[in-house]
Amino acid sequence: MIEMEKVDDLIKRVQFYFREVAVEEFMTSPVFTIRQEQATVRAKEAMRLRRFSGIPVVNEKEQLVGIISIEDIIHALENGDLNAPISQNMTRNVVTLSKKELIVDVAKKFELHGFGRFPVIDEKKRVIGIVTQHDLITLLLSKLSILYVHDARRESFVHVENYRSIPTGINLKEEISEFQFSIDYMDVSLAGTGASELKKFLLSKGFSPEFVKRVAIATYEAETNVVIHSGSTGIINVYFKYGVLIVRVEDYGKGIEDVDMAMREGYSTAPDYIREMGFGAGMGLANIKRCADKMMIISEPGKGVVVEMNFWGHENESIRS
Amino acid sequence: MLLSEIVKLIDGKKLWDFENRDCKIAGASDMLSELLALAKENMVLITGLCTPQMVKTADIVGVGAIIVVRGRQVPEVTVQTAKDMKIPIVSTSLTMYTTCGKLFCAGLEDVHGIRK
Repeated sequence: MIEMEKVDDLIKRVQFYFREVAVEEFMTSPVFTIRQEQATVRAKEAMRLRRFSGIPVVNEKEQLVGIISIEDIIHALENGDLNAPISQNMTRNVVTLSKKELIVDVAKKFELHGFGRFPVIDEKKRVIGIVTQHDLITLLLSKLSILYVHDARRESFVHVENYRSIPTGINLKEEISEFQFSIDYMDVSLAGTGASELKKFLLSKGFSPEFVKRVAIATYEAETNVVIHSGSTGIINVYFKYGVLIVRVEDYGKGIEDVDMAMREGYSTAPDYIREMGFGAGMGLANIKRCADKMMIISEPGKGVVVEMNFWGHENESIRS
Repeated sequence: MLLSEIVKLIDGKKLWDFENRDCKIAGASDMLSELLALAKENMVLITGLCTPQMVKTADIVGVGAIIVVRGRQVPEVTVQTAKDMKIPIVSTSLTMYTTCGKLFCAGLEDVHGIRK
């Protein structure tokens, strides 16, 4: 377990890189609120059922008047006040955020006040979101552009045909793949065909050449990884949703032993005959990381690899030509 | 520099009947991933590889022409792939070092635009 102070310290160290990110980009929204005239026991039940550790309290105009936390509930229990209105037991001096505040300010507030959560309010004091330390950590991980799911949670992803796209949260099962390509691992000379086809497909759909190039390079690398390393067939699926192009390349082969090592530039496990063909420079994953805006690898020895890459338009780069 | 001039300079052999075009940048690599990482649009690629794979990789990054060095016998399938993808391909008996040297002296820039 990492202690909370260490988390604070980590956040402090990396926040510099994401200082431009505003609250509205990572707050949880919409947010569950509770009315002040309700009985405190209702708040207690809501917390128990929804596993909240605190709930913003609002008045009849949906304006924020306080926050009720587990601590407040304990006090109410001690005083036998559970049936009193929430307004009697809640904490009134709430530190709030506005959606335009930057991540640096948020980190400062966490440090300064030691609260677990900050409601985000609009100019009329209505609650539009909430920021917890969990939101901050999730943001940092996703901004680091690679998220390697390394514990038991990945069990439920690997070997599941469809799963929720982790970086975007879109349920891919409900989305029809716009482009699909089956990777044949038996013939090394076919490696890259999928990326070539995807490139043609995207250009025909009116995506700009610069954008397509990034997608093609990253897909090419992921595809050749399947051919060279997996020892199994694979599949490329492409989805386009909310302005984000999602390319998912998965195989059912031997998996990656050590993802951290594999990410290192120059590290390769490719055999010699493969290297003679110009593969195995050990730049594959690094190339993907460079081209994709977000990248996620899920793998485990013997259970295949899922590489998901997300692409969106950059400044000075339009997606459409 | 025109591709026809480049072919003449390195005493190269056109492997299919491609059209002439103007080239400004050149780069050399025998590693496909490196090619993906470094290549610029319309770059002349100087390489020792002659697999169809190399052509496909070149196509991904929009390479403008390919020079295969050291007089290697370029397989028919590679030439055909290049032709399908409309990428000019030339072979030369010169080594990679000499090929690069000649093109450098002739004024082709590298991928970072440096040439002094």
